[in-house]
Amino acid sequence: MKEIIRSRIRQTSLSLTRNQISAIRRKDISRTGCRVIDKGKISVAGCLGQADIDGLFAKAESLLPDGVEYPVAVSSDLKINTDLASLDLSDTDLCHGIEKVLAKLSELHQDFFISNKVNLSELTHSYENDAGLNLNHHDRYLTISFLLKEASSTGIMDTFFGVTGREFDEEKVIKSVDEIIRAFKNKVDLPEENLPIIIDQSTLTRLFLRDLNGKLVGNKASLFQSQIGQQVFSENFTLFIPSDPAETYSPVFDAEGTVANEETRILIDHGRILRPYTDKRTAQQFDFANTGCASGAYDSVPSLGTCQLEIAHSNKSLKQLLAGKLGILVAIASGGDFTSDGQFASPVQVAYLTDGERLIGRLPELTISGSIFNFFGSDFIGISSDKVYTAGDERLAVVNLSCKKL
Amino acid sequence: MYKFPCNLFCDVRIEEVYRSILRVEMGKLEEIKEKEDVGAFIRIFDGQRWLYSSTTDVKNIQQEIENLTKLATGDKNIENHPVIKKLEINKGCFKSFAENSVKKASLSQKKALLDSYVDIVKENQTITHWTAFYSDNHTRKRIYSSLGTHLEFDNQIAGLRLGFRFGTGKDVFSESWSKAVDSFDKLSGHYQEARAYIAQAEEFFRKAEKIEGGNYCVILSPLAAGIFAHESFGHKSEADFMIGDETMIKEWQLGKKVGAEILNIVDSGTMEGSGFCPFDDEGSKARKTMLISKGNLTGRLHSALTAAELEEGLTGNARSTGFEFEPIVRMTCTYIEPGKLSKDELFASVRHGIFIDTVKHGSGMSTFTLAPSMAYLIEDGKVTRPVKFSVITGNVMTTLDKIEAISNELKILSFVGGGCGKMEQYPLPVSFGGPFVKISEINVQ
Repeated sequence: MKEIIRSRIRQTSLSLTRNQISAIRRKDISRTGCRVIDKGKISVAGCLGQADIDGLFAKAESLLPDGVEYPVAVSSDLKINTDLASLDLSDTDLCHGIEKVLAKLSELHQDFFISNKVNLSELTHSYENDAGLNLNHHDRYLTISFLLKEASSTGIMDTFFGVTGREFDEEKVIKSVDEIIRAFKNKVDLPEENLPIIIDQSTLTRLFLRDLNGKLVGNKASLFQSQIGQQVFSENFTLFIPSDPAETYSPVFDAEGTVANEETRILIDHGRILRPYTDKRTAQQFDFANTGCASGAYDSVPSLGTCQLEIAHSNKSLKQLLAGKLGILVAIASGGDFTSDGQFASPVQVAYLTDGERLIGRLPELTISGSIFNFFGSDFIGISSDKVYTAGDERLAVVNLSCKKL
Repeated sequence: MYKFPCNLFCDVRIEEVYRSILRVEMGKLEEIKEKEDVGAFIRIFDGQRWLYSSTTDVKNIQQEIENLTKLATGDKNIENHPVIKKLEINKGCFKSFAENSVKKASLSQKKALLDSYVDIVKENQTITHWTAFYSDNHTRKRIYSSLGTHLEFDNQIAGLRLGFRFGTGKDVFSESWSKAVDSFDKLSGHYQEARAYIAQAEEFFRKAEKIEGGNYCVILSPLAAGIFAHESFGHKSEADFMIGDETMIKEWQLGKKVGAEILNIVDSGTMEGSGFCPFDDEGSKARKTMLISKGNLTGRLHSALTAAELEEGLTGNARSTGFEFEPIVRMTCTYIEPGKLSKDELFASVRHGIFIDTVKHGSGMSTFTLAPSMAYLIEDGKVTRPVKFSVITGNVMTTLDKIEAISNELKILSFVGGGCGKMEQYPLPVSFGGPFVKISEINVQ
């Protein structure tokens, strides 16, 4: 059995220094990986640039006797063609648009500098094999990453705006950055009452990436080992592996060509832990469902990697989840971690007070802490149904955590 | 040789990278591969803006130079531009690893080496999950420029990492042992060190207890001190954050007191290991830069652009993670210089405190954090029992001032399989280290 994986990234990248485009980079990188699978083993050969396909397969075949055990069926008879490359933006238009955004924001906030990167990326990825697999993914998207620094500040950066999308709405970017800077300038005290914490989901779900790994669970080494099948978290808490390429900016298929169904991609259902995330070999070895989480470089043996995780939203907007209260929106929380038993603590370098619709003011530096069994249990309020553009165009988690001034 | 355009600065960096990776998990071979890649990064500067191209089509570099040239505006006086005048013009071949390239060791030799360490992990029956990883990299670079740079050099690193987890359910603990050196041969024979580390981790797993948060006197191990130096101060020494920023230039004037008088922090690309960088990606030679001397700011890290802007000297710190990216200001090997006290004297001076031996990760802006892995209580000058907590955190500048004592040994640590991240470029190989460092007060969470 032979498989070919091809990927190509074409990217225009703008470096920003003090509200100016200081550099333009163009990248065009092609990668080809050829896999040979035979008698329960797999080997791979790959190259950058123009590929000699026959030569790569010959090399992969020569490596097969010393290859990796691969006692699973390859994916077959599936055709997928995803094309999300609808963003019609030339490099010239991108430069002009970003210059316009920077000029307007400089005019609005002469006391702030913007730096870092804007990347316009076009990604094509294909996966074919002798068994009728023909999977294609094509996407084109813009990533804006602005480090925002107050002119009088002595820090490397003060706050941040970052968003990835398939549109470039200059006015929306200007409005959002303006709102962030205005809130940043308005210092407010931490209210005495306990307020809900509004935070990026991945900051809190990363422990699941570690401890719902199929190999850890299969080897009985997971934090959640004795809790598989049990109600552990809130009834309102459902964790799944998202698969919509429009949302994930990734192919719908994994590195083994698996497209897991919606039911299988749920890892925690209304608080009950159902299953770990897996690839084919892990699923087979431990008799788990295959959740389609094989990953690896184009020239690597596919294996269980990490996956994207998402918490099902609560059909309530951020405003509704706050239920008339104010909330603390965590904008930058760098350096936090979990202990082995699920206790989380993190400094919060930048946080804003919000009513769920607008940023009101900047809070002092904070520390937040709590147990995963609590903040996704009795302290779980929900996930916003609306995406918050000023916070990366993401649906945000609203939870109760211990929160103190640093 | 390339035909460089008139009235523009241009340089070409070609990278040939050999690397191999082997990974064993719970006794099963999961990955075995070796590969060789070639790619190029081209830069053009017209006095106003940099234009870059990254390509794997190395046969058509000349065409790519011409494509970029069309986007640039010529400047007849480009050679007198301060940035271009600042660039070092080095020539010659400076290959250190041709004779002992990791490419010369076969995959079966590498597998045998890895298996010899796997046997150590298998000896421990308490481990519930483990991985063993071998990785090497031999990168040869050529840099040519319109100024006359014609440089060849290489760099190499080879390493092992054993990751292991003890326990199950709410009683679990993960650690890893690693070793990185600059040749394959040097990786043999570290079995006692690996075995002792696993035994230490097992004892920590069995005995560590939670500790109350609060302010403690803390002793950092060489690893923790190195991460602290890298995260808390090293990133602030990268001069690209100061470009055109009058506040930063005033705040970070050389000579300013930034830490305790006993504190010296260095960055040097000349140190053996994962931070070794004989020339940077603009072709500037590596050198030792004193970032802090006797508690005063005495240097910072530069590319040609930042050195010209701040009218300071080059330091050899314009680095990229590979041919896909432009060089930006990055660290190499960052460490705290040793002091005068013996390690025993240092510990003896602590009545009640915490010793941070190993660290999972660290970060630093105005506030730094370190997430410890193995930490211990110090009582009446002695390390008494293992303790666990999430992070230590504090204001960077305040903490640098609270450094009370520094031991007299220096340990530099190298790594494979990870590195430093900055903006979009991760991972960049770096190393760091130091002596044991006593800080009078840090917040423990």
